[in-house]
Amino acid sequence: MHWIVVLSLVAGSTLGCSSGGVASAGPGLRVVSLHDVMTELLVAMDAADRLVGVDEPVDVSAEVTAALTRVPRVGDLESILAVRPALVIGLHITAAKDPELVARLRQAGIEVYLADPRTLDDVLSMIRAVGARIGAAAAGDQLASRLQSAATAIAPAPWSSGQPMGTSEQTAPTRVFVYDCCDPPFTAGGSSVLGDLIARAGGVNVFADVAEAWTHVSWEQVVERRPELVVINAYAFAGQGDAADKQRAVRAISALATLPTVVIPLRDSLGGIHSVEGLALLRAAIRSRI
Amino acid sequence: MTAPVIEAEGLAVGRAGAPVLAGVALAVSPGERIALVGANGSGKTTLLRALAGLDRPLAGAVRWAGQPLPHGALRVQAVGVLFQGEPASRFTVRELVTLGLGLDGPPSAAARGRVDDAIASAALAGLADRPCATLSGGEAQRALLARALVARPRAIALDEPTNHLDPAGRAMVHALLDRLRGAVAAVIATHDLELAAGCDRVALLHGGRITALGMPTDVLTPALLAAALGVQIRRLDDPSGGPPLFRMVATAAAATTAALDPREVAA
Amino acid sequence: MMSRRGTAGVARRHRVVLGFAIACAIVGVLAICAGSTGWRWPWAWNAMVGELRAPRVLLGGLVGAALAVAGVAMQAVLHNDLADPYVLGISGGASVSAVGSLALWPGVAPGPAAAVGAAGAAALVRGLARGPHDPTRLLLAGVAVGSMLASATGLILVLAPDSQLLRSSTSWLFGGLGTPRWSALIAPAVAVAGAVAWLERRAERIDRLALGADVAAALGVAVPALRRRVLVIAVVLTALSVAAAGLVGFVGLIAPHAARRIAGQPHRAVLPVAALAGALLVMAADALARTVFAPREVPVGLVTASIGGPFFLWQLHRGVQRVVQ
Repeated sequence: MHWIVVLSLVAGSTLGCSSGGVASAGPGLRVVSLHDVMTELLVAMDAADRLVGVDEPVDVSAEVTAALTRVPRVGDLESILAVRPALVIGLHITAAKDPELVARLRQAGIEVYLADPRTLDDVLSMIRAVGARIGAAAAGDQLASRLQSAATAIAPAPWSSGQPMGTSEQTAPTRVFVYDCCDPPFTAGGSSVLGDLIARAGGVNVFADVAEAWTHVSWEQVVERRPELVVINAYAFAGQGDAADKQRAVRAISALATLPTVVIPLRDSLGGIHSVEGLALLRAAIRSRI
Repeated sequence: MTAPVIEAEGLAVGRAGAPVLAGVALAVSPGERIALVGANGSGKTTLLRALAGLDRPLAGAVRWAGQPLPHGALRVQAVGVLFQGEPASRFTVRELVTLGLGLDGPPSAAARGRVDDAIASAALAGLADRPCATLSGGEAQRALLARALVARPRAIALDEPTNHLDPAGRAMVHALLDRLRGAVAAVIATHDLELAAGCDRVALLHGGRITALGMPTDVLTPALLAAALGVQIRRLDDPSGGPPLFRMVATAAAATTAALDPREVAA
Repeated sequence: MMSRRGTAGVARRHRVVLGFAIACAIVGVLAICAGSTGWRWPWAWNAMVGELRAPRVLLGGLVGAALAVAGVAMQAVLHNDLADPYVLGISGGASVSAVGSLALWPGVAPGPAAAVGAAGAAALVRGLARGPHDPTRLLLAGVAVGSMLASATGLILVLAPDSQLLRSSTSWLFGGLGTPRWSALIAPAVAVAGAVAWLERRAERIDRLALGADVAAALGVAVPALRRRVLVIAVVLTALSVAAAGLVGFVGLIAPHAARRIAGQPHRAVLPVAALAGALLVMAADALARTVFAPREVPVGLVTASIGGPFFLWQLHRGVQRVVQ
């Protein structure tokens, strides 16, 4: 008879752990990541073991791919529920693409954490918050601090007009145009992390006045705003030719044809752990213009 | 002996492989009017289309003035066609009749003159710039006739020209055709026995052949009509020489093949 | 007096065409003046206008003319005034090829693939409706092929992992002129000029064709040959349009309809008037597309659709003449 009691106690405690409410953080936490940024973050914090499901990675490094070899791929509500996560993490854009999914997950008692970083500082806070949430606070803080010092080393302080950077530097920030794709051109707006990186690197996004993070504009407007540097957002999964195609598209506009360009891989512009690499590329490009 | 305007020899017509009519030999003299009379499905329209050059015959040949049918603008001078049930178009009467000339390009002054003459002949002068779709049935039919005649063809093929027309319309068509007598040959597929009676010759179509071909008085007899059309018809000749009246007898029992009573006069 | 009426008809036709040509030129100039960075009077035109606005506006005019003429041609062949240039499965063929091309080769313009797809779909439809020419069967086959290809297009879009594909496809599917170079105008210009000249020379034969196959044959038209050639011209013009501007709807319906209302039935007048009306319509629609929601740009096809709907409602109100002959 006492066997049954022991069994039900064990069963009860296991069930209690994974049913609704805030699940306890720690190595046993079952986490699903619905965005590359979060996936890479967890791997960087050595917390990949907590991943019980990921959205198929679009553009991640080989190291991350290796860490995910045994993690099942998920996508729709059914596949996510099948791996019984306690926490689902992603970016704001995940909800924008499929709000129904997020609502249903919450209804099922699963905690959904969506981040919406708009500046590099937001990215660092996000890293710390996620670290704390999954019970790897130390790793999170460490990662965030490392990235912060790297960023400060590259670009000492955010530029604000009127503050001289040094006698050998220009007094006006470089006007930068970000080209992601398409015609009419798709560009980064005022609330994108990439826009913030540009500002830190000593530039100013010519479309910083546009409210959205990413939006379509017209070539006329690009030309009117007289950019001095073009940042090309290249998609690695689209193949080697993607950056070249985009450069050709920009150069087809005669007013932009002679501008220097710098290619930023997609993962550097998404607002994840690679943001600082993007910052370095931007800083180098801006300095070399001078 | 002038060459026939349309001549058919050993003609067989019909859908692919299934002849509706066979062994047709017909020669239409210039200015002659021939009626094709037969029940529905007897091949009137099929034969008419072959004579108008619209369909290729299954066997035999048709010649127009001894030649094959010319292409392009010359064709409308060989044979004009009046179709049955052609939907009224949105062209104006003048535009429609001008198309009957078969010309490319805007019409010359001479061509415009001929169009005006054709419209006047059809008594449509006041309606020349009205869209055909706004005309009455009789007016539209006259416009189509004017189109078929504007190029002054040697022959004209008419498919049921008086169907769906009120008496005034029918009278108008009869009058128009009378004016053509001797000038334009006409082959008319018709149910209208009065119209057939006014023709120079009548052909009866039945059982896949032309069963009778000759003058209306000889062909449009109750016996032959009963065989060809499957209905009993009484014929009442007009003693003053006008066209005969035909009365359809309702039931077979009341049929008569007795000799004609010359005292029955058209009312 | 009677022949004077005839010459008066020719003079009127010339006046109508001239009037439309002038209106078209005015709208073209205004369309170049308008843009997402504000109004520029002709004397303030600069290199930017010359590079970014002018070629686009003129290409829009050519696309509008091409679609209008294709519409007139298609309506003559199918004996149906509600046939638009895309009706023989062409929109489906163009869409699936364009989206497929964007999916496989994102950096390459989808235009040429779209043109090939358009022509291929039309050929497929013609093959399916094999046998004596029957507009109803052609239209049915067109609907069938068009919907199958449209669902294939949707499938590619849904299954593709790449959001960039969705973005570039949307602008193409709803019609967008993009930022063409001057060289992009050469092929459409040659095609439109050639097509209008060819069709205009045979305008009376096409009038007879529109009366029906039998009537046309009786009036001396070599019907199967003419029909084939007119259909090919319609497909080529439509294929070039989709290559240049994606799917721009309604122009192929509105322009011929308006041309017939104003210039009458004969194709000698309808062809040039429809071409000019189509050019005017697309140039105006593109100007609106670039300015109404500036800095965002609305696809041209959406603007023509939003004009098209009310236009046909108005025609319904006025009383639609019988459209099927």
